[in-house]
Amino acid sequence: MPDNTENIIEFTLIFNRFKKKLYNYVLKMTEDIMLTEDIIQDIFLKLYQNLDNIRSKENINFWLFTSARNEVYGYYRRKKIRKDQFNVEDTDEIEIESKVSIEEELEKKELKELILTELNNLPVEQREIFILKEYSGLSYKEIASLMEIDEELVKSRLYKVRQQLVNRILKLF
Amino acid sequence: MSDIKIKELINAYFDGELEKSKEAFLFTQLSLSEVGREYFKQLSQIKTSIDESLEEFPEELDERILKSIGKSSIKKFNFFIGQRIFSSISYAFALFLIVLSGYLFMKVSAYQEKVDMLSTQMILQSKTIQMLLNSLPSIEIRASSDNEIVVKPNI
Repeated sequence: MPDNTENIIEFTLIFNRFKKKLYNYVLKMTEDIMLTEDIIQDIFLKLYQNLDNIRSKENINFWLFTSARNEVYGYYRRKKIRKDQFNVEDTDEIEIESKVSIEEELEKKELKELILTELNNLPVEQREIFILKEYSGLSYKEIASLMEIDEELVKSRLYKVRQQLVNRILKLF
Repeated sequence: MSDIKIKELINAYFDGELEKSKEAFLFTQLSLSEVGREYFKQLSQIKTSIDESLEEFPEELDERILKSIGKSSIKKFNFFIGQRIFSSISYAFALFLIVLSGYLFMKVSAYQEKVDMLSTQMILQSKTIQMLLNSLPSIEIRASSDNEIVVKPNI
């Protein structure tokens, strides 16, 4: 079988396996559908072009998420979005300010919308861990290796974010 | 068991990171803890909600990516064909050069043989001449008193 056909088959398998996870990660991080689509297309095209090199060197999952992460942070830097959130320390308590009254929120939002809104109020590091876990299904180990932090820190940040969400839900319902 | 510990176990359970052997332990603890059950319920709600909010991969993007891959592979293939033609020409040229140099080598060898033969013949001829010269009888030249030179072969 020619190399080219083998690559296309292998690429298709990888693409179908990771596309949804990666798409949800980039979409939740950027909240921009057009940009997400461009980033995803770019990443998969690069993956196809470098498939031979990547396969032997490192884990595809890691490569895909690292590339996506670089693109997302590149976008943040270019647009200077959430500049104040780049150097946020891992705080024990995160203030989630609510500009809209609870009653209004209850009327307008369902729980999933509320989660997304609350996520947007989190520091980028905590939000990213939560998205990588919940929307992309990465393990603690994979998140730790991707973000170059300790596994225990991943666990504790996830725990804190969930605690915040639970508290918020308890207030609302 | 403390509430925090139970919550940690619940988190690990929802993250799919709790060992199977500890699952039974967690459920036993949940049956004993009201706080734990409540927390489990809330996380379950969050989890369900997140699962529902997962976006499907857009079909249009799917198509776009696969098309761009197709184009890219055609380009790659054309480049590959181009490379093959180029290398075929190079190989043919190299082969031609090898044949040409072989032919020239044979020619030169043939000339060299001819030159060697001629020089051998010349050496033989010069030896023959030398022998002929050597085979001539010796002569005697003597001067007489009245200044007459007598050349007399010594046969």
